[in-house]
Amino acid sequence: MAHLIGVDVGGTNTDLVFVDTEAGELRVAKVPSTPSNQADGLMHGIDILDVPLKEIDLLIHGTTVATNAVIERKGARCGLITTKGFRDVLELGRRDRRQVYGLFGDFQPLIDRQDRREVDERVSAQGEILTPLDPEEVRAVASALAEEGCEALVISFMHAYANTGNEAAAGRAAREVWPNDFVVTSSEVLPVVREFERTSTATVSGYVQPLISRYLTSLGDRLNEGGYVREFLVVQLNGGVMTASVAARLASNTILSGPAAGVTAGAAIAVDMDIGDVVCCDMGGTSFDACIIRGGQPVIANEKYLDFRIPLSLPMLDVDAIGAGGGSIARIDSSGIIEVGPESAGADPGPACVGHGGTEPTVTDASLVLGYLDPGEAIGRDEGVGMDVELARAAIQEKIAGPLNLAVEDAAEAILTVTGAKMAGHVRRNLLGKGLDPREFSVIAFGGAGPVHVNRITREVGFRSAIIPAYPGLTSALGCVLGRLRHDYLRTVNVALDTLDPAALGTIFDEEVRKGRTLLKAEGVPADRITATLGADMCYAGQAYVIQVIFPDDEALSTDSISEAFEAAYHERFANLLPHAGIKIISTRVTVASTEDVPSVADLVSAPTDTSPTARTTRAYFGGGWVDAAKYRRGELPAEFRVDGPALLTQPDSTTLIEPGFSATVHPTGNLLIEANT
Amino acid sequence: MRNIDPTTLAVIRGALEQIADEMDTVLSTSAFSPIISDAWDRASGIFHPRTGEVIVQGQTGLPIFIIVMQHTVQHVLQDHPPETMKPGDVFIVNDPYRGGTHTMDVKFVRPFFRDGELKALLANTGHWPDVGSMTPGGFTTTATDVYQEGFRIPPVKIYDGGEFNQILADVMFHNMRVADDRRGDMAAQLNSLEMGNKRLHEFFDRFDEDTIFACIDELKDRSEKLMRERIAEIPDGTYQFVDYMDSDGLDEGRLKIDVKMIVKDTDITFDLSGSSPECRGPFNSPYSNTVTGTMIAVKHVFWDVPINSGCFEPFNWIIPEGSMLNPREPRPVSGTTTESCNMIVSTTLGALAQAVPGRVPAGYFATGSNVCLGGTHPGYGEYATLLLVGGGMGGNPDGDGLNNGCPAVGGSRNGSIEITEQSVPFLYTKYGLREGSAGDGEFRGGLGVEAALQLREGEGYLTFLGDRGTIGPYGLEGGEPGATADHAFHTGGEYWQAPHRTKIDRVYLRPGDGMVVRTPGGGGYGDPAKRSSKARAADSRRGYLAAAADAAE
Repeated sequence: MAHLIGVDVGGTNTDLVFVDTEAGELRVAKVPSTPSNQADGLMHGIDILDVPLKEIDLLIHGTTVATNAVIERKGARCGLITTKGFRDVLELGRRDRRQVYGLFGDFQPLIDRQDRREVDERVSAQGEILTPLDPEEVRAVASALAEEGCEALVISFMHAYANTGNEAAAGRAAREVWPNDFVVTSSEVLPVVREFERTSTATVSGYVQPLISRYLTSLGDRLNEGGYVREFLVVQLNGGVMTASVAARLASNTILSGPAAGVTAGAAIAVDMDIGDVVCCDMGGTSFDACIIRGGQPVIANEKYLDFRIPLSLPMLDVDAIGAGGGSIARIDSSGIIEVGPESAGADPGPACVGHGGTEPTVTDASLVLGYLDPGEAIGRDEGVGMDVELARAAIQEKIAGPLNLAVEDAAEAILTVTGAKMAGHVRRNLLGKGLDPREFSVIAFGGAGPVHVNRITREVGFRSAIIPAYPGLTSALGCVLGRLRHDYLRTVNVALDTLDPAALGTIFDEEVRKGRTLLKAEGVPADRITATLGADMCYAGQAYVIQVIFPDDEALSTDSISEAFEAAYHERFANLLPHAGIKIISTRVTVASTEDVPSVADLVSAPTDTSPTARTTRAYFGGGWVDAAKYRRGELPAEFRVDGPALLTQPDSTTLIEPGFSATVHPTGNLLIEANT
Repeated sequence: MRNIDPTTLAVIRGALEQIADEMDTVLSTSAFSPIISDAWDRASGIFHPRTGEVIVQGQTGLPIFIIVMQHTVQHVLQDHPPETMKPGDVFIVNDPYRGGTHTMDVKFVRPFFRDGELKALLANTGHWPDVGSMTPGGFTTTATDVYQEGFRIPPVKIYDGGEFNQILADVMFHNMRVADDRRGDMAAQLNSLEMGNKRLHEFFDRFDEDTIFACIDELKDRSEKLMRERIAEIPDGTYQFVDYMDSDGLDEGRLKIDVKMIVKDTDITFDLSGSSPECRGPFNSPYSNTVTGTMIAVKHVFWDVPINSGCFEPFNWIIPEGSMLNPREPRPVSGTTTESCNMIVSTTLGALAQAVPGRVPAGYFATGSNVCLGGTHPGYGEYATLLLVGGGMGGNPDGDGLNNGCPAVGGSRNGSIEITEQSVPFLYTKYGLREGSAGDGEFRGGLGVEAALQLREGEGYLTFLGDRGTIGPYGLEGGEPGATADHAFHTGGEYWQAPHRTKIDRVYLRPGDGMVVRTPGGGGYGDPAKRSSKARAADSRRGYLAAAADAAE
């Protein structure tokens, strides 16, 4: 494997990296995204990379097709078949409302009530079949739904995780009469307890499957026409990758794949620098995504809400987003105090400074006014897109500085202070919520806007240090080529440890591992390059929250070894144990992954050793006054070179700002390490 | 306006909010009880050291605590004046009659000292699943005094100058069910205060003290000013709305909630003196709970006014002592949060709807509809659980009401049926939308919920505490009311209604026995004749309108 292309399609830009692992070469491109058909932008980007497709060994793709389909409600019309009495589970949700204060707002579920039908069947919490299924009833209901115009079918029965019998039989019966392959059963997607979350996850899967399937097929055809021969890969929300044909079936696994790829890259880069505990912060145009990495491993979440009442419960990288990006709009709130976001100027009209008619002051405008960006350099855009400081000043003057009677620079600084506090507060709550101490972590910041604000975040959160990757604006695309083929399986078992039969548990693990190995082999991974990690979601009896426990792989599973692993994980999380409480295994958790080589960032990117950088001087505004700041082209900085703040390091995809009192050192890996001067 | 730099003001506001939010986070992630950790039935805040007024409260705390917490802190200050407090003190209180709600909400207050001087008070509250009342869980429908509602704690020290009050803890936990879990909840609340204390020190390290207090005063003034601006938009006058609760669970006779909202310039007086006198059953609402109910309604309409003591300034309350909305000790109060408070919010919204038409939705279901299950089973052992059921929200000028919404006093989500069936020997036969329950209107109400459950094995007890069985949620601007609650119980194959319709204590269940919960739909908004034919067609296609097939038959 030598020539790889990673493509991350985001809301504003499509980012590409080309990697030649043998020559140690890395090439990048950034083109505008094409929302109506993401493949157009992708093909355009490949043209810009200027690599013939027939010389590409593997293309890996992160896509937002599925995410957008859910948020914009553009997926397939689906039918849903449920247990008698439960067709409304999907619509009822969990008795919530859209916001804490304010009683307005409605909800449209992904499957309309007219397309939700019930059949007579019932399984108990213990997995007994209380009412057997009549397959004929399923065939009749499915036929009717197909005739009425449903393109995909979702089947979700009560307690199907505890006994898949009825649901699997219903799946078989439905497939006999369903006109295409788009039939999803809840226990295939997620054999896990909680009827609403499981039904919602299966629904999302069915809802995006036809769309994803068509998109991937047509993209595959276009790549083949261009001379690309192998099957391409698609990034998953767990940070791993899968083949396009598997992705067409596990369509919901492509949701949130872009942010996941960024985290994969961030983790790899931090590990290359021997930093294991780090928070990945990806700040783009509209959002700020944070994910915690411990010991080099991203934290895994089990659930994320894609929209109001639409949870997706799959093992995924725990990326938490807030509306704070370069395009976030600053305003004065009803109390007369400066606020930033979550509204964004987006790609159109974008920040005032780009001159596309935007008049609202954004974070990017504030950064530009303060001299933190180079108006000559492009940020997060093609070469050639300039930024006009006067437009930025005018917007800030009109909307913020004027009304508050502030100098434009002071207003701009206030905008960034408020933005930084918001992002830092978000990260702090995230860490504290997991029982972690921010001072033990570093931050790795990327995305077009991340490096401008990283110093502020570092200061506010109290991070030890900050890392800026070599290509901050293309980190997610880079992450695409770093992902391994991988599949995660969760399955509810709900057993108390003191009544556990380790052999029965072993059988369940064997089944899950076999499932993963079979899939990976079909994706072309040799049997001896497959590894499995076993673990479980566990808690003390009576608790609502589970913690993830990884079982040691060098020890046979026994009640004692499981109990020890749980107590170690619990103690680390809560710093105590409850010696008298019973321990429960709620779900098994299995990761089956390829161990085949993926490129090492360190082999592709390194700092030059023979350059002599030229320092220019620019003016930047800090703490109420203009000062001289050094300005370097980032690509010219050799390894071990140290820059003291205030300074600006410019490059086409981003600008790194180093505040007074901090310094940046070029690490041999080509990444920057920013630390407070002591 | 003080001479404060706008940036500093924004930063200080953000920093204070962050501390309160972090206290919320630490509390819910370290609590033992799912009702705190999962349903977030808790709140945290920072309070003024002398007046006890709220400076900032966490943004994810439940609405019901928006002014209750301030009253709690003020009661602590009454019993323990600032000059008697010392570093290392922590107070505990759960008395509904000392700035409280019901006994299950247990509050902790910790003075914050800098260089030996009291600078602030930190406080939090958490809903403990049991404090030793006559009914497990505390939602009794037949208590006749507050002594039956659990172990009642006046403001006392759980820590005295850093020394833990072991005797108090021993006595307290000896009087509560599943006491080990309660110890875990208390540890989480203390932990959260400790974190808040540390963060507040960092905050005082970072900013000059005079600036901090100038900003706090400024934020208070701005909240007040903003609230007054909102009130100024309302024409002067008296806006009255009256609604009724079914009964107090013991005596026949509806309970009247009468909200008279008197607007003059930028002041509002809530005169509740037309409401029923205190009742024998547990639906009395202590003063703080009543005041918070009116403020929750205001905040749902003027949601952009930040919560601190400033936003309460324009308000006055007339609630005569001896009213069910300002009862005297030892009247029982356990239905006060999920039922009485919801009805106070709903009725206040009814008055606001006349004052600011177009900004208030039609009536919401306004009942917590608590299903408490308990018993003993050979396999499950001793069990007890509380089920929460939603209902329809009101139609509004933006659209139809939400189906299965959460009551306006709270934000707690309900649990999973599969998890419930795993943990107690009950089986649901239905969990769905209650067809035909929405109030008609140009924008109809949201649908209520129909849930049917029965005992599978062993024997059990079912307590139900709800309301809205006689009058449905009101319509507005010509909209129809939503359907009333209509619950059916069944034992020995016979279906029957509870004598008090929406309230019954400890029904004895054998296998096959159970109940069908049918919660109210939301009221409609606007003339039904104006509802678009497209919307009507969608309602009919979705089967929203058909009368529910009666599971009782």
